[in-house]
Amino acid sequence: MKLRLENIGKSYPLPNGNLEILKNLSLDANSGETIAVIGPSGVGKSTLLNIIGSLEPVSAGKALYNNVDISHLTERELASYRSSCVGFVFQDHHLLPQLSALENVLLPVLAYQLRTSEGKRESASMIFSLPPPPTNEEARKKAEEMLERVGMRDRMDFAPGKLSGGERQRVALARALINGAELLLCDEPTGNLDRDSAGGVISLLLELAREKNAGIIMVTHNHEHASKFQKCLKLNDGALQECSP
Amino acid sequence: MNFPRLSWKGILHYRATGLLICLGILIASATLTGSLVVGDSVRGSLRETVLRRLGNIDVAIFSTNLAPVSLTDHLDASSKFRQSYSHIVPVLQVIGNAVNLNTNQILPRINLIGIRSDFPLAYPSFRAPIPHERDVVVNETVANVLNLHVGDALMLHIPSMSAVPTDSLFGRRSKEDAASSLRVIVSAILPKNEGDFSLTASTGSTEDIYISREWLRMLIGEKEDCANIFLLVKSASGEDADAATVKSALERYAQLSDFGLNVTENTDHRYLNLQTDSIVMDNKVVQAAREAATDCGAYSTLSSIYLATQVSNTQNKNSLHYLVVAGVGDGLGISCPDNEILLNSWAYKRLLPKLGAALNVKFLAPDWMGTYEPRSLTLRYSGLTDPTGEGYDDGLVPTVPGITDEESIANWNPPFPINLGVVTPDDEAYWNTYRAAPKAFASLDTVKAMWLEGSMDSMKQWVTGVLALPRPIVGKAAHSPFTAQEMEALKATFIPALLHRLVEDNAGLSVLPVRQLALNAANGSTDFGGLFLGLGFFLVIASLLFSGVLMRLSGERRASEAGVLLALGFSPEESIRAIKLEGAMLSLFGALAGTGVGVAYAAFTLFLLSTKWRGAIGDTHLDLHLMLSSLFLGFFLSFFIAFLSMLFSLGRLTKRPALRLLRGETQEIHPVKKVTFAEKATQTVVLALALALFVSSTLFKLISGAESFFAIGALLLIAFLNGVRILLKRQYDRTITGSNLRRLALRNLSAGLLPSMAAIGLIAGGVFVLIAVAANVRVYHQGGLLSKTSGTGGYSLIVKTTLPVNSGKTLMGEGESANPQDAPLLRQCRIMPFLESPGDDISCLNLAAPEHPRLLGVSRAFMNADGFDISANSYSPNPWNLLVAAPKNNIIPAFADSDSAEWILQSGLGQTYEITLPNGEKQKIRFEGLLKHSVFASEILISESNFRKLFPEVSYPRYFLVQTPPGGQDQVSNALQRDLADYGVQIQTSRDFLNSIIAVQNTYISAFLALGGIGLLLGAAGLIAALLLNAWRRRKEFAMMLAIGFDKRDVVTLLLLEYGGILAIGLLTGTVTALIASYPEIISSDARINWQIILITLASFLVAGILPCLFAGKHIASQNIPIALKEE
Repeated sequence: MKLRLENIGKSYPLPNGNLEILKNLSLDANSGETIAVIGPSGVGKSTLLNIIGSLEPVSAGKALYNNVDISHLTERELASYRSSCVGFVFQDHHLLPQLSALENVLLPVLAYQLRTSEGKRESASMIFSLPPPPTNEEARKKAEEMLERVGMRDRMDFAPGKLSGGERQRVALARALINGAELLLCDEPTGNLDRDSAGGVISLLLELAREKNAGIIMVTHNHEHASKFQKCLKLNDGALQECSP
Repeated sequence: MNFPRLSWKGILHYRATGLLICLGILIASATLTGSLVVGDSVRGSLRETVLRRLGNIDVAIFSTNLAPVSLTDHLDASSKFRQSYSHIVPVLQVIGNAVNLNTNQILPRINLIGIRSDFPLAYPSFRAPIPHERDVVVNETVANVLNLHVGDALMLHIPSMSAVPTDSLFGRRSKEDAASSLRVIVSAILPKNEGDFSLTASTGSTEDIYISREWLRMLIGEKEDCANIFLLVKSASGEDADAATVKSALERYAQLSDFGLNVTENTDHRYLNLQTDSIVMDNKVVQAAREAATDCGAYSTLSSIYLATQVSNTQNKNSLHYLVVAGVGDGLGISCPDNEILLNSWAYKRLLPKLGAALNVKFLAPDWMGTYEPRSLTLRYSGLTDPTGEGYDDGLVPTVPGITDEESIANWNPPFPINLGVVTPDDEAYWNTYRAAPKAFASLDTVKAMWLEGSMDSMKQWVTGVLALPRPIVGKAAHSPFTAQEMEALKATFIPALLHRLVEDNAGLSVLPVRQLALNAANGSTDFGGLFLGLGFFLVIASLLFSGVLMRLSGERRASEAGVLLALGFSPEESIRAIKLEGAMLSLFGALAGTGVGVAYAAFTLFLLSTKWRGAIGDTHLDLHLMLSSLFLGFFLSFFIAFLSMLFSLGRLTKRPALRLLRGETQEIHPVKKVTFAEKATQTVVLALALALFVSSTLFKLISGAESFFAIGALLLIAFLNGVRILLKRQYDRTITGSNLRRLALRNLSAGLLPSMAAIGLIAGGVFVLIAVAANVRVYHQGGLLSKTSGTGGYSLIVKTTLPVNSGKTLMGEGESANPQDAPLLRQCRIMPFLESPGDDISCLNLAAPEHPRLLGVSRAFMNADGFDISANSYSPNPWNLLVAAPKNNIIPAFADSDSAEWILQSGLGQTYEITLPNGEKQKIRFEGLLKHSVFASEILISESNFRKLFPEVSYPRYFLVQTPPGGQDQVSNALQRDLADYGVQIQTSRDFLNSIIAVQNTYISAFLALGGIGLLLGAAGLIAALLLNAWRRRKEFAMMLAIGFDKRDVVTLLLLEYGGILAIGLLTGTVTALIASYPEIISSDARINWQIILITLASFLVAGILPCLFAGKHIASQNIPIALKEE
């Protein structure tokens, strides 16, 4: 996996002119690389993640994933990108309350199946050279393994409402990795957790990323967590600078 | 994992909201499906009633007069007829009245049906023993009205069915001749559904009495076995048989006697003479005969005879008494100009006139007062009828019972007064040899004019014979101008041609496919399905809105789910697919359940129609009829509409970027702009326009009715709502300071201007419609109805009789059995008679579509009196004169009540409408005038002359409007009740009649208010649910307010001010605008607005809205502040 951001700019229109959040921002990330992004509130950290994850478009510059310019992909192509290449972990876990833990983990598999099903091979899946989707049995087995890995196997049939905050985040982690995402985008994943739970989640995150050789870009306010990452970048004035956590 | 599973999980998890959404769809579906089922049930019930009343009868032959029963044998001669029809049952049916001799209760206008043992073959429901002699079988309706039991005695009064026109010289008009009475005993009472025989699709009960056909025949004075209706039952192999089969058999095998006609050959081989038992020939028969003559290459001409009481020579004073004067058309060799007279040699020898001498011809003309007025005319003698012979030809004179069949003049029994003292032995000798052979000949028009002197029917041709000849006789008539062979050949071709024409033109005998016609009419003129859908549309809209809003809110609440799915790699469409599928499933469940509930709703509506809302349907019995097609239609429509509304509700969600959905941002925040000058100007203009229209309609009456109401109402609503909008927008003009919760509440409403205005507009619109509809309930009271321009024309009584009133004296209280005290009172009244045709009621009181609309013939006197509130198609100082305009393209001008014309006949002012006459013929009319809220709701009005053209058999009136002296209505009513008792009189005040009509409208209004009220409450519930869900979303905001120092009461107050404010503003706007727009109706003296119901509905609405606000407010105010501030 290779991510390259070239001179990314992001601004929002206001009645009195544009508000520039990101200016000429560049970033490279590779497989297995873990990057923490810190900075004051409102500086654009989450915006950066959203741009990488194609949840927000850029105002200027290019975002290249494996040399594919994701800033010019169609909606379907972006959906393919999100279903297979990146995995999100949000501060609010965003698990669907009506699904069990297992079902929440299986949800991305459905998206992947839609993107790559036989007879409907879309250009997107060909852009990213996506393998064929797993069968339902294979998907379930994989999901159970993921849940086992995050320590939630025995609660896989529980609804999110019956899980603690930390447990929900673990499930969210499993969900983010089920389709073999090469890049994890984490937006303050421990923001709503207590210290112990947060620590556990971060450790788990790093372990899993190492196992899968996935890259991580994590936005955080927590310098202690940031120190566990290979690289720490500070976002200030719209640009990234290396820093110590 | 797949989408259906995802959706199902969502439904289970959010089942509370889902249930509410389902409930809304269920109510909409139930209303929709239920309305369709109501329509099916009304149609099905009418159809069932019609079929039950028809029994096995498919086709019926109706005779204008009485036809011999031997017609059945004639038809049976046709093998094709025998194959198609297994039974032909003759029946004698007359309209009469019955009196319970124990209680003296009278039931007018009953169907007296003369039957024999074959009747059950046509009508199997008749399960009682066939009545014989003085036994009668009555149906349950008659028994209930007259309080009869088996063994009770009844007096039946029925009109005589003389073929001779009663308004002619030879018509018998005395009370004894005009009507007969018979005392009978009730031998059986047929229960409901067994004794309701009817050949039309009339709704409501029928009043039938069954009697032996023989006794009925004797009662009406007929010697031969006869019938006026022949009921035909198809055989098993006669599926394809129709009226054409019968007509074809009639043409081939019927005889002239079946039509009451006969053809005789003049002894001189001069002509064939077609004559009728009625003496005077029906116009249609005349036309048919002349066409038949043309068909077989013969010549035809007309003849007419009259009885002169005296012909005298003004020069020598010689005179003759009681002689027949004949008139013939061209071609018979007897030519006589209009002012001249010819004599036969016998008459000439007695009168001895010189050529050119003036002869005075005296005759009698009957008048409506029951007397015979002497008339005379002077004609110049111009010669002998037959210079070479005696000139006696009694072949021209039809049979006149009581005269021509008597051996001598002394034995005459005429209906008019006769002075036998002037009859000489010479006259008797002539009679003895030549009977009624005409002694004098005048022109055909002269003789016709003599008939017309005594009749009001100027449309009749007054012809007593149609003569057919091989060719016209040129010059003076010679003896035997044609050979016997020629006459035989003529007879052989003329009679079949005549039969063909008679059958084709429905002249005398009409063949009607009664089953088909009745079934067509049973479809009804009022679409009850559509009507109840209209009445319940409020409920449908409110419940769909309720579901749509909940669906939208649910979608918004779960917007972040869509965002998650987008983030996980689902496409925008896929991310919302699960929720859409949920919506589809909920729509399916709701529609399915609603279809089932709809059947219950329909059953309940039918129950209400049969009880509380009986005014809408009268006596009609309604059963539930389920048609799969309607159930499917209701289900699919409900599902489709619910699904569409769900799609619309969710539609914009997917357009939001995933990030905003993840954050739960589903609404655009539009900054509120300041009020512009254009908005203020528009507001002023709209308000001014509304005010101007109000003043124009209320004070100056420049516009009125529905147009003014809708215009004023719409403008006022727009003005008021816009005013509210401007008021809310102005909240941004000033800063909120201090503890002014009211200002804060208004600002909050302004922040969500669109939803706030939508809610206010919805409430205002609903309340407006409810109040505006309720304002149209009216009950007429006497005061407003005395005006000449009201719907009664100033006539306070409607009088109907069973038997035609053939003497105006009876109406003046001077009849044979009148109470002497009544005459002075009745002389103060203005009594307007109308000729009334048989036929169907065209008012909303008749559910079935009128197959044969009833018509009234309007006299000149009535038209000249003017009156009523008429919208005319063209200008005339007296709009009634439009009725006497000459028909163009054979379209007769007509008037009708505007509501009947529009809603029942589906026609309108200036439009042409085709009516079907009882004999099956079509006639076009054009509505040249429509009367508003009139007493003529049940009939179509045409001029009397046009009426006589269509219904020559109707000579005397049975319908009267009476203008009574002030305060004398009851006395006049009692007087007429006494004097017309023998005629089977029904008297109703105009007020009561109009109230019976308006009761239908009032019933529909009640139904609308009931359904609309529920809809309003449901709308309130939905609205409040939506608003409260919104409030729940704002609980962080309220938690913040509590955190910074507001107390719980403030939060509750704020919620009440906001949402209660929406309710109150909407309520006030709708109420005020409705009251202003409906002002003319409200101040009308006939208005009967049930303010209580309106107030209760509005109060319930307010309470239904405010209580949840209180509850939610307390709940929100009691939340844990820190948790709420942090809660997801």
